[in-house]
Amino acid sequence: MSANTQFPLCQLPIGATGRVCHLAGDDSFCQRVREMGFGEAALVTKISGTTTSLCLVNGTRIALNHSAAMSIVVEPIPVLGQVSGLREKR
Amino acid sequence: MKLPSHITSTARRRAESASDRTPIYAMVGNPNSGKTTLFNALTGLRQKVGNYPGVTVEKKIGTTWSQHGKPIQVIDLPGAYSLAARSPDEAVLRDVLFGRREDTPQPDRIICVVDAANLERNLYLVHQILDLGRPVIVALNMMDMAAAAGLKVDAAALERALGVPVIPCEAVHGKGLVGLRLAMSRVELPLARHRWDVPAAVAPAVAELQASLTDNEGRAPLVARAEALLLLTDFDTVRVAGSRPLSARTHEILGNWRQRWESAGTDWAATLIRSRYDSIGGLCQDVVVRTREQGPSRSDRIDAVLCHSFWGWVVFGAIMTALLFSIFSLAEGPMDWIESQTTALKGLVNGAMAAGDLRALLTEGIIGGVGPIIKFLPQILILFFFVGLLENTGYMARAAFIMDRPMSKVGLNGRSFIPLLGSYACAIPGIMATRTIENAKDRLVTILVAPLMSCSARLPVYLLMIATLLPGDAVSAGKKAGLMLLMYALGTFGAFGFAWLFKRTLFKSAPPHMIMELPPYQPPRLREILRQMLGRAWLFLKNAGTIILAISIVLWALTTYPKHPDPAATPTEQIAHSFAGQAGHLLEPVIKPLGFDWRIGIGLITSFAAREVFVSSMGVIFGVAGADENPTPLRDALRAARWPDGAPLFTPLVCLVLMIYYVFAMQCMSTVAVVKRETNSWRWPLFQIFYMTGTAWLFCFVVYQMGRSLGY
Amino acid sequence: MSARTQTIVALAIVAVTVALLVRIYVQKCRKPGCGGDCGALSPEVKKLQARLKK
Repeated sequence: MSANTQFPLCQLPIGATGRVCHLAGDDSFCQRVREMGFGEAALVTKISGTTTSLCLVNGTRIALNHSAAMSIVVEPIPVLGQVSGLREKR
Repeated sequence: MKLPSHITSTARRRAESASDRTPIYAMVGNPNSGKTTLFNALTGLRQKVGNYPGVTVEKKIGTTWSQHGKPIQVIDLPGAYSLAARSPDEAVLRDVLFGRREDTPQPDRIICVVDAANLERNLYLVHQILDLGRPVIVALNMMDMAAAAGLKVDAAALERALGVPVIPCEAVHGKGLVGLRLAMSRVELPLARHRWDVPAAVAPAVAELQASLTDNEGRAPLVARAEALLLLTDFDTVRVAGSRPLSARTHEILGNWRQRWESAGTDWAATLIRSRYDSIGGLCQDVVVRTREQGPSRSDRIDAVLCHSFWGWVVFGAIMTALLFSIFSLAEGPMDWIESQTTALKGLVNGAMAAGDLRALLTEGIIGGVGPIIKFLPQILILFFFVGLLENTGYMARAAFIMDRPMSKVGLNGRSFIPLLGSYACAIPGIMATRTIENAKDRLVTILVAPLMSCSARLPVYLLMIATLLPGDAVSAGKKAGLMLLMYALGTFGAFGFAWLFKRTLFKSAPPHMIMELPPYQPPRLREILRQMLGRAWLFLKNAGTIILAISIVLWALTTYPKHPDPAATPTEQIAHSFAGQAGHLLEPVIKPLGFDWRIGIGLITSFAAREVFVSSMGVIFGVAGADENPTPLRDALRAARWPDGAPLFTPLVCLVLMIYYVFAMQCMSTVAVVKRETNSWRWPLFQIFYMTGTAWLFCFVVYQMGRSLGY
Repeated sequence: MSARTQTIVALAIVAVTVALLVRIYVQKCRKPGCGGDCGALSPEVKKLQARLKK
């Protein structure tokens, strides 16, 4: 898995951490995702799930259905780091 | 752009504080941040709390007392992630804060309840509220959870940064309430000091919209600014402005800016949210210290099993089986005891009074009607114990997670399953819980199918039919539980089937996105569960002692009068001659193809008030028909009932068909009223009655006729 | 108690019950909802709401 590859969140392997690159859903969904702190540059770790995903974002467990997870494009982070409780400084 | 230094005029604030009017506080925060727990702790009320988002869907008002003994009104509001409302429950928060609800006064002050373990995300809503320029107190709740997650939150530093009182507390353990009450008792609250910079490119748009909202909509300057920021974050004006439409001028300005940004290819809406988060991120860096590196938490480890694509289903099935098995195995002793007491009471009255109408009213109408219902109290308690466990531990949200896949097959998502799961207890809170669903079509579909989930009112009907169908101790609890599971499954599949049908015909829409927060697991709070169980038991008994008692009395009168001209007429002949008998005979042609006679027809009519009334109606009708001096259990009376040709009435097939009828038929007046209120129209409750009862009739007809042709 | 007296008392009880049922029905029509059975609004809250309205 190359560090430069970008793919939808549903394809992120369980246990892996990714960085949100961009959101591809409709405006309403994108804004809600951003308002929940799940916007671009947020770090996300997948806990479980295949069609419905369970992810850890900023210390919060968030469940996404398949169409929602398809709309969030991430890039994997090669280092197996834990998601910080604090947002990454941009 | 900076916030203005003067937020509201000091003179006005002084005038407000000097008045004798009871101050009103609104309690706001993200879903599942513990608002209602804090509200209950402050007001002494006992509003429902649960460990899943969306427990509160309507505002609740209570009173607390200041340290000087003065009353303070507190409004508990549904949780929201943002002031740009996306679902009806979030709209309640927005409308109350903006003073748009006619039935609720605009709050003077706001308590922002913040989950300390998720400070950054929770501060997003706080940040929007600070923009409103209203006096705010931040209640930093769940400090214990934050510490457990390895986070040290410096409340004093946050208070310095925001400029508003920040009170650390643990509402569950009653900690920090004194500090919060002291802050609420302050005559004047400092106003927010926190500043954040709106990106320079967006500032002109904010200024132009603010001016228009002030001039054309008559908004106060700070409210106008806050609303302008929301409108630029979310271009759907209805979500920001509510049902009151914006002026043409504001729409025009908004349209122009949107067009300009679209042509420039810049997503300024996203930039606005990001700049807010940047500001919050800076705050958190100064306030939150991570004391240890966070590994997978206990909740993560549990979730790895409970949300697993295979093991999750195994656990879900095991929980449902355990629930149904306990209903049959644990409740038997108490039920027998209640039944023996009812029989003894009947015997006592029969022995103490001479034969006559009053004695018949007492034994057949009142004891015969209410007794069979009270018998099911132990099973209702067991059901609500399990429901309480699921709600308390945080499993409700996990159930929604694992049910997302089957829900997506019918065009809904897992979020719709929480109202459906709640409908196993009662369809009314289930229907109200649909307010958390963002998509209006999905919400309506969920409302339409929610009453198909087998609620606790169906339990007495199922249990009576199962007892008649599978009598005695020879039949194992497992078999009875299996039959009950079949009824629950039938209702659930029925709900899914109709959701699928509605989503493909009446309410076509794209598959909805679901994004839902799963709260950390918590050990069940037995006291809370016990309190909820007792609350439900009290409501059940209250219902039995009021509506069911009244219907039983009236039904007894309808089965007793007019008297048969022949004094030697049998009890069955007497009922057939009575008003109820005549009405039942009118209905019989419609229900005879289902295997039901006119006496069952009377039960079907009366149980429209509430499903469990069917049991009391059977108690009255077949109690009347039974021997006066030797009362028998209702199930035995039903087994002895005959058609005029001597054939048994309650054959196993009829019992099964009757259960199926109650799975599908819309037999609840209260549900009809709530659907009318929630959909604001009579169209949908009437449609619901038609499709549900029509399906019930059709299904029962097919099953009965097939059963008959197969020789059952 | 004679049979006739019993009939009169029983009919009186039935009449009072019918009146109460009609009252409950009218109340439901005026204020549709679950009547507090769903835990959405507790009786204390309803009282407070009424007081607040005044």
